[in-house]
Amino acid sequence: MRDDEIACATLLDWLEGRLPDDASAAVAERVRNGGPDLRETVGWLREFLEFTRTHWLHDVPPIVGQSLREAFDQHRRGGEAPAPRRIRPTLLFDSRSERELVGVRGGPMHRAGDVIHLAYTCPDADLLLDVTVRPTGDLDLAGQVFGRGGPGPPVFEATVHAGGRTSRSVDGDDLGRFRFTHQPVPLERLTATNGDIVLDVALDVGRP
Amino acid sequence: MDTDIDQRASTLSGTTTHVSARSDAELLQACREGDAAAWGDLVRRYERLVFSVALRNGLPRPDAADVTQSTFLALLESMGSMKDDHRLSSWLMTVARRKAWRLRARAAREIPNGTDGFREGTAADGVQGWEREADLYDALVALGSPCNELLHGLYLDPEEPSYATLARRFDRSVGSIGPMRGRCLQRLRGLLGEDAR
Repeated sequence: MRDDEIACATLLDWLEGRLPDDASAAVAERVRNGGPDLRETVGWLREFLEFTRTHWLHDVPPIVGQSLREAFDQHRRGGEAPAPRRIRPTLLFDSRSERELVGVRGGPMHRAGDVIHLAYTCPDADLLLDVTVRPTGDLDLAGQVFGRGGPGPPVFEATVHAGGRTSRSVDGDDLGRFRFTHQPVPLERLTATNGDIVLDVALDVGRP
Repeated sequence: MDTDIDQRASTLSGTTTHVSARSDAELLQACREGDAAAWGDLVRRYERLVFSVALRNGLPRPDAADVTQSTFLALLESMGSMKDDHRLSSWLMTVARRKAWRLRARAAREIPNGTDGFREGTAADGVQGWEREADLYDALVALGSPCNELLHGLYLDPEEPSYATLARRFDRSVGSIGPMRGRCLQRLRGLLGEDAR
């Protein structure tokens, strides 16, 4: 093999630091003494590696693909997409009420690690929420929407109003799950939409 | 309550770039004729590029998702009048970048002290880096499967999957990944107009 004929894979191993010291030194020596073609190849590989280090391609939240599929269907049919229906689901279950029933003391908000389970229902969907108290006193909120009565879009985008602040989550998955972390108290309101419906629930969690 | 909602709601990890056999021009033409599958292919081909452009221009994920969506909606509206179907990546990046800038400018105006609190873009987001990214992305698409997916996994995936993970994904031995990436990069270099060795 001539000095300027080092396999591309070997050059990459060298540039990426995957070779043992002695093999790495040998490749470095051959590159130093190599011809212009070899140096050009090394230069191109270095440039590629440097470029890709700052140009990652991030996965896109599933809600984007879902919305764009619907937008295309709407475009094909012509006309404007109807506004999503706003629904206020009814509270079905609140674990804090259960605690009161069995005589557990401790007030409406609890210690670090305590979890409040909430369930809401409406004709279109059920909504489950778990609120967890963090050691710092702020809250994590995990939710899941179970659609009913039809194959509506499964991915939900959620917005939570907490402590005077609004946060939005676009990272819901195709099981209808979403999550917020480090929310200030109190949790006041949550909305979740899949483009067809907007579930809107008033929350009362973490008030002194 | 026995649910699994405490599991992390996350985007699918370890996904690979979807590679449609059809060219951009063919997909665009099919979209104009109302082919929803072609639209899905087009979105899957470029959504990560557009989303990453928005993130690199300093937007948080929810805003970057909005920019991605509105960029593709702009494509949907403009498809009938597009003059060059062969430079779609550049077109999408241009629109996404402009939308990201506008969003940042609007956010900055809404914040009393005039700073928007967003991250600064990197030098690599300059025009030169931007054009190179479009070229690179086009070449990766042209490279096809499995090189497209392999190079994406090795060099463009922020999860940085290990060789072992990639070997499982491609149903190959770990030892074959290194030589395969060498061959794929040589082909990529050829497609980018260099003399592949």
